[in-house]
Amino acid sequence: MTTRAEGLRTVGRVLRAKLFELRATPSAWWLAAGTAGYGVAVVVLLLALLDVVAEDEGALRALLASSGGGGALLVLFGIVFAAGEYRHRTIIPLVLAEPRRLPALTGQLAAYAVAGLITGLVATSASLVVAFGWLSARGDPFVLGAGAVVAIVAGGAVHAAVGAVLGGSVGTLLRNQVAAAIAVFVYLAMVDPVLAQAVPAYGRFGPTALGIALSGGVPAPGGPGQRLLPWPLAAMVWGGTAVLCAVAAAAVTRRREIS
Amino acid sequence: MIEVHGLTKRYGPVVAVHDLEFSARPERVTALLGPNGAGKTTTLRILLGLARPDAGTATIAGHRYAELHAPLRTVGALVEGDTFHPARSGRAHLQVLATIGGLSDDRVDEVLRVVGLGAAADRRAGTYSQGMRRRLGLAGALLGDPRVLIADEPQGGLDPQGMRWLRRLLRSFADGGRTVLLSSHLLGEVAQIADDVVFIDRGRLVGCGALTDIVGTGDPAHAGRRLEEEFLRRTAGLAGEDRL
Repeated sequence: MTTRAEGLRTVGRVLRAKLFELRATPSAWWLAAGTAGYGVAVVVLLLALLDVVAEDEGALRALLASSGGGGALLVLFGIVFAAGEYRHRTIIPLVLAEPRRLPALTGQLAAYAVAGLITGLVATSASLVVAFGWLSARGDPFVLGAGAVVAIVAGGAVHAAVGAVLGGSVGTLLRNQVAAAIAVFVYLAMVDPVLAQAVPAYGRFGPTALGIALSGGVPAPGGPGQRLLPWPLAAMVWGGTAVLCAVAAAAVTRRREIS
Repeated sequence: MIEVHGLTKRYGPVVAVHDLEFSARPERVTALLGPNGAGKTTTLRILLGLARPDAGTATIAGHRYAELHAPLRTVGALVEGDTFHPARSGRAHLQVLATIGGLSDDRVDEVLRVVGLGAAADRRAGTYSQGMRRRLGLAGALLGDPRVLIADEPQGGLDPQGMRWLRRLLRSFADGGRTVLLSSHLLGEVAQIADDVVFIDRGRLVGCGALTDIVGTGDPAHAGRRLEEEFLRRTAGLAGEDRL
């Protein structure tokens, strides 16, 4: 019988092992860099093309929070690594080393959450630095207060962390790494923006709009989620989706045969 | 001690393993022999907790795999095929396993030396030859210095030197009071290393016993041929053309 303390120790060991594993895998670095690059690219494009009025706090918040939507890419990150366990059959040494599958899955998802949190922090901070530098070079003042900046960074990081857990759960459920990654990429890049425009009731609940809402942003004109959820509600929706997927992944993993 | 009692496993209408009974004892190398599709891999997967039986039990030291307190310290497992990420180094693969299993990093260096991968430890495992991949798998199996070794086709991809190295490794493992259970198609190799053999066909036990009782104690050079004859005799009614 596994005690709670034993279970927690197992989670801790798997968490440490999986974090090391991510550090030792080049594609993890590429995906994290891609997420940060996406955020920076969004800021640069919006500043260059839309000529954001720096004195307008709302516009600046919308700009920075939009870059936080890149946290949705961490869903892809989670999928690549969780489904990759089945593609490369590294799931076999994992369950041989730790046959108690629920603590093992918990540790695995916790590692993705930590990686997502760090990536989100770096990505959102990089966007802020670029925006600050751009506006300074233009001679515009940076009108956001410290509280707003912290909210944007924290919201982006939490969105990314939860996205990684969501992706890890989906990857565990689907197992087919390529199919799952393509499906999620198509959803994030094509279906989500189109649905957000076409179905107003959906717009606030899409992953990108939830990311913007979590970053304390106001919606960009014509952008996804023109009526954003309040951030606590956005956190509940995003977190709840991740928890539901994680529970489903746990239920399936517990009885799954590994080959 | 490995014990299998009344083990049955079905995949839909196919009975992969049927009421299988056998044991593998300490200080002995036990070989599980059978044609393709006989149920060898399924049996080993059930023993390792990777598949669930429909009936019966498969235990190691009296416990199902999932119940083992420190599985890597109890059982070393080598499964068929690669089980590592090709972009990670052999050392990183083992360090991950060691961390999950609560083992020290020193053990990683030790097993890398034992399997002869010390010089290639920091190379990406995807660049390894077939033999090196098998050695990495064995390093993972030996990581916890286990009392029991379960290996599915351990000779796969090894060259003649590698085969000889593996024979010595398994022999010294068993001579140290430990239990070895392996499956193999290479009857000549099995004849050189096994103490006991278990024949299965279509999931059923068709014979078992000490190798010397089956092939005699004559010229060891001919033991492989005699084992092959015995293998074919025991599986003849079910093997051959009707399998093709």
